[in-house]
Amino acid sequence: METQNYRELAKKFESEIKAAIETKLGVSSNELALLLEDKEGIYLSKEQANTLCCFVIGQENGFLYLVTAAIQNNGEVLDDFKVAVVS
Amino acid sequence: MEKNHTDELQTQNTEKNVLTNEAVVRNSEELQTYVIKIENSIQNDSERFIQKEEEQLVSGLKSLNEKDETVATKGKALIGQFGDTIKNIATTYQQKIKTLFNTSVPAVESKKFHSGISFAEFVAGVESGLYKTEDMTTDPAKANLETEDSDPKPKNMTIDEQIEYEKKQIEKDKELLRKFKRRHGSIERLEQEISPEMIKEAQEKRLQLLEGRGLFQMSKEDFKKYFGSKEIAGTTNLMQAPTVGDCYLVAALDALSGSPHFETIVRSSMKRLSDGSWEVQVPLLSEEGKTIKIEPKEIKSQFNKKFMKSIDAKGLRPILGSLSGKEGMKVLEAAFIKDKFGSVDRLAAEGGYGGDVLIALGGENFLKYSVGTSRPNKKGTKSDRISLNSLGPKDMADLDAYLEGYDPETHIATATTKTTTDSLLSPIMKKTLGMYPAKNSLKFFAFNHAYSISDVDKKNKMITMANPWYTGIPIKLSFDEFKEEFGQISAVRINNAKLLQNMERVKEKAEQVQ
Repeated sequence: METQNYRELAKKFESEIKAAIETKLGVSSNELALLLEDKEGIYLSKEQANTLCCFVIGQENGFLYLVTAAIQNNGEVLDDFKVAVVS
Repeated sequence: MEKNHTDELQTQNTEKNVLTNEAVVRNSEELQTYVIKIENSIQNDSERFIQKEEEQLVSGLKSLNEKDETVATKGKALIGQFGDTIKNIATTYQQKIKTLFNTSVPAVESKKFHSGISFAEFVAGVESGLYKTEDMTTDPAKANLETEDSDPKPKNMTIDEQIEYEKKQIEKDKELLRKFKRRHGSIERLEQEISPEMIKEAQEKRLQLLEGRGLFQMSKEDFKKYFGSKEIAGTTNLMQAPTVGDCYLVAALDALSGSPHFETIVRSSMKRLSDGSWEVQVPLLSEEGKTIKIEPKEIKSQFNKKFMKSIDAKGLRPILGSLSGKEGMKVLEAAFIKDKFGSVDRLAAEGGYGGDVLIALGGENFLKYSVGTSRPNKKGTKSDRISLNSLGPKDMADLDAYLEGYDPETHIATATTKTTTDSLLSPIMKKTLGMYPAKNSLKFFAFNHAYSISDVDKKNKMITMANPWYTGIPIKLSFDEFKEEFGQISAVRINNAKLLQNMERVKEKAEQVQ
């Protein structure tokens, strides 16, 4: 998958990515920002195939979140969102 | 068919009973533990209060007439009476708490607060306004827990519905716990969702991300040369100069150097010039920061200008040493002192708090956290720092939440020992050894001394610390030992939002200059 494509995919699913954090950690989506402009802000995992990883910053609380999602339907859809606090 | 149905019902009933019993047992234990904690706290508070009042009375009586023994005797009798009154109040209060808790047991059974929320956290939640005290009543009309959908338990449910209902209640409780933790600056980590390998991968990516944003003034090779590397044993160890009382500063630097952000921060904010001098941006990475220049001579030992000019300990030491360690760490020590005192005056820098050092060096990239104890000393002239175990329930819950949420990725912390112990030998040990033995182990701790925290093992409830006298030897303590032997935590949490923002600003500023 091309870098541009998975960046676009993350952009397309931005609200779902934020919603995963909101649902699991209760941080309001309005406080969250995806690091779409950073080269390393969105990447494909080498550890787990077909998995997109996105960094999301909590603008109020200062936490950096990692949201992973499975890439489905030939790169058209993201699902199975998982969340962790990286720092 | 009938038999199968009966078996199924029995199994369901067993499941239901296990669910209910587990919850009740867990919460009953929490209640009992909490009652004991409250009782101890009241006892400590009342004794402290009595002690304080006693000191004030004695001091007042002495000022009236130091030699009048009759007045003194009367005063002591008054103190006794007063002390008894306080103790009576405490006993009544204890009884009230027990009554309150006993009546709240049905509320526990109806899953108003359980499944992961410790009772101490719950009470802290009540105190901070997160929950309302009416939650502890059995009256559903008064049950006012802060949930949007606190449904009353429906009647006539099937076993399946009841189990489903219980599960939903547990989820709601977990959400409440998260709300509580967020309010207290800690967040429940969800590593179980994402594998450790992927977390590690993300950590490496994060460093690349920061590198991509920042403008590094120092190469990776120079960073390793001047600051050491955790990968090469012993290269990052520090040793506080035995002639200077800046343990708090060395502890803070040791804690800071253990942070995964340290390399990024240092490489962005420190520069070694060709003549061997250094330029340090203080606060590190801050747009508003000052550039502090450190000359090579400023990181060496210095002559004590007060030597033989002062009759106290400050005048007894001819030489004031710098810390032993890598050059970059010495520069950071000097930069902090120069920024705060105008020159690298090691005498002026004696005494302080690790958290203040970290805030001075990290600025808005860090958020401060501290919790500590204090009680007036016997002379009433100063405050003693005593065991963290003497914290009130709210502070203790806050400390527990901090330790349980501690993450080396995010937190940088120092802790300071007690200034006194309850032992009668405490004053003698302080004067002769400067150290006291741990209450429940063979370890010794220096009085009023800062240590760095390098790791917290939440699963086994262990803390790894280092003494600035030599940071190469890890000291492992259980949470209980830590709370007993230390009297304060002075720490910071990294604010990633500010960190990233500041990296961007530093880059923009540098581009404007070019």
